[in-house]
Amino acid sequence: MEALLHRHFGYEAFRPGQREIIESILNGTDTLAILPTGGGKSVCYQFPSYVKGEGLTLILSPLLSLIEDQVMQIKRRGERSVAKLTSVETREEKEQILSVLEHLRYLYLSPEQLALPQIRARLKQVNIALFVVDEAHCISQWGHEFRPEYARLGQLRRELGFPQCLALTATATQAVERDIRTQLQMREPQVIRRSVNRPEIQYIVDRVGREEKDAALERWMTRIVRPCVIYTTTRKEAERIAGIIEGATYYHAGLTMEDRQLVQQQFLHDEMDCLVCTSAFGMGVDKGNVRTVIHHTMPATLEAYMQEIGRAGRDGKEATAILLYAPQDEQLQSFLIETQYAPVLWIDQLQQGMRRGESYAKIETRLHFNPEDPAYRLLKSQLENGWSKERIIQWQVERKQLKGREVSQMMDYIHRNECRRTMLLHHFDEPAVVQPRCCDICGTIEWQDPVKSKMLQTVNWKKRLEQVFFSSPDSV
Amino acid sequence: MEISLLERIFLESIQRLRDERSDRSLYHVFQGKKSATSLQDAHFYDLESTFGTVLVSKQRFESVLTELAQKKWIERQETLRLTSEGARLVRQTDEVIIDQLGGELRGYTEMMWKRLSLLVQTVICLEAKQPFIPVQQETIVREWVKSVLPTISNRAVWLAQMYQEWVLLLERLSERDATLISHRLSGVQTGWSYPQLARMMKVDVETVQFEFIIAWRRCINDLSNTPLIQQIGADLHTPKMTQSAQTTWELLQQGLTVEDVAVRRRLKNSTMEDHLVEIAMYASTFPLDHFVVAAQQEEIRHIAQQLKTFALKRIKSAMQSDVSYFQIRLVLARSKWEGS
Ligand SMILES: [Zn+2]
Repeated sequence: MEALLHRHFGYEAFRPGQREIIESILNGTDTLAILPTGGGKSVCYQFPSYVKGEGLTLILSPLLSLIEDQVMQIKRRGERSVAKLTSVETREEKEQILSVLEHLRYLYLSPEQLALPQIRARLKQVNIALFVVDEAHCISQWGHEFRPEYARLGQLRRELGFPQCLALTATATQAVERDIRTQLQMREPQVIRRSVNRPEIQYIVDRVGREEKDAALERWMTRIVRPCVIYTTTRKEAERIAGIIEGATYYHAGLTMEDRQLVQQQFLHDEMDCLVCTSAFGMGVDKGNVRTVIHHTMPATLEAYMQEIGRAGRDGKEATAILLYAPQDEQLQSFLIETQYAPVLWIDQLQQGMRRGESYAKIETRLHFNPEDPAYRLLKSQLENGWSKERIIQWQVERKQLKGREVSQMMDYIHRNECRRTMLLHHFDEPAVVQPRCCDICGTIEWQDPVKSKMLQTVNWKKRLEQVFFSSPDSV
Repeated sequence: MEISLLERIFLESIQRLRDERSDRSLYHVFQGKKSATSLQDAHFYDLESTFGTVLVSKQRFESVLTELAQKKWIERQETLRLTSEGARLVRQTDEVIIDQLGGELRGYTEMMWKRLSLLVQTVICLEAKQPFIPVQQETIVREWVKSVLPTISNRAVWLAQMYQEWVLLLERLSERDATLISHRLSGVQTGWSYPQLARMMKVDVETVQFEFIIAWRRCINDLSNTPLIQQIGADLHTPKMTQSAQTTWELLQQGLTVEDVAVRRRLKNSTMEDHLVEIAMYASTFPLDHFVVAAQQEEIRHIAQQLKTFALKRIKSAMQSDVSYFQIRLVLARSKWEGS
């Protein structure tokens, strides 16, 4: 197996947990794997295909950017038989891909695409070796990122004749784990759970006054080691903060495609070592040497927090996670929760339109609904599934309560005088771990010497052109 | 008052619309909408260069117009027009920005950048044995690079010549333009994002984007001394007509009559007319006399000039003889060719 791993992936050895998962799949068992971010989960579902030799590996993934990253990485390691079906491909491209399914090793698709009849019909004709559900927590209404399109995956899997299933997630409480198993209709699955503990990360929470936050951030910037990632909640904030930190660059989904590639490449390459971003960055970006992750504003849930700080120290070396908090930060999260759900008025308007026999498209134009608005899309899928107004409202109330509880768990983490690591582990139903270099509450914070920061340098165009054409990789 | 590059682009464009077209028309020209009306607007009002090059979101388009109206530089009614202050601002400099955007090349400029930037990055990184994230993600661009790579037999030689050609191109530009372009380019060292370029140039992101478009257009204006780079765009033929008009044009060139084509392609009369207007706008020869007698052509041209208008209604009502809108459109479409 190691020889195969080296040949196809270039790694010398499996990472902890990988072998166990792969063996479980090779045994033909449905498998639920809970691997912390950075645990190398893509190898777990890409590897078995080389042992089995035949059959298509189908990978369901929630985010376009994630799918694109993965396909790119697979191609980069020299594997050509990979394709994706997302909202980006044209109809011709889709038809072309569907016509060569037998020759593909991996097919990535979004759940929306799998739900399309013509795609499903075609998939029924091919041998599906493995049905992979990435970010499987999205299937659970208890999960922090519930996606309605995911809720139909169990049924779709049944239609495909119950191919062997591998569900992957970075974080899952017991409740979410149960939900994934039942929803995907997994049969006696083997559950492989790696500890969410990240011994290489030390945790700090800094509570400051509302007006002092930027100053606090700048203070931390003088102590921490780069490369570092600073997370913000909004694009505007990302832009603003990148403006006050020396050598920083921002990244968010509002950038052009070309700009996004450039910034990712600069960061991966260590040409620039401070990235300010929204949560749009990170999924799928595999940079080992991120030494510090700072949250300028708290995320909505501890799960999201764990995922985002999980981008620090993937190389196993010392890293630091800092969370800044100012009073009322939680209000932004509460506000964002509200905007995730459609107002009652929309339900009435949509139902009225449908009673008149109007199509969704028509109603959307007439009432100026944005078809891309997640709140609207969610509502639409509920109505399509025949939910009544009362049921939707009831559901929204429950969801908001759940989200509210998640925000208070986050607040708890910020305010309680208890070891941060212990709190995080307890949240995921794991026992506490005592270790050196733990957290600010334990008082065991250790600092390394900051390295000189790397900044992009403006030079005259002649020099720049020379650098572009003739500098060697090590001189960068 | 300070005027931004984008505002300038708007003001110059609105001036050319001569108070005859709406904000929707302008938006569609900026977006490069391939419809008979938008193509005709771009052509008549001399906005070919903006066609498909001012790609701002609908919201941004609206907000710019609102701001311009608030500053009292334009008036927004059924049609858009400059105020006297707006007109004064446009006159302030001799340089016309919108003519430098490259829209008349229909995507050639943009595609040249995409191909060249990805090809240069790919060859440099392959030569340096350095993994990289392709700077262009579009399939057609990546496929193109893939098809060209095998033709480069000696990468080091190719790179040396490519570098020389870049020097030649950038030498002709202003320091600022050359700096922008050279910093956007990727090799082993990665190019800069627009926000990073904006910070370097001390302007906002939107401005730097348009500065870059204009600089790049200037850069590849004349490629006769840079054969390697010229070759990269050699196969980029970009028809100005809509696909459908193109087909009609090809059939007509094969000797079919207008009626034949209409029957064979099952075109409605109005569609056929749209196609003919498109052909009149872009084809180097066109049998105008076949559709409008010479005297009427002369009259239409004369009135359009006298009234300084492309508004069909105004021209029609000023005519002595009876002509159709279609005939007026044809003559106006042709006037760029016949006039010169
Ligand atoms: Zn601790």
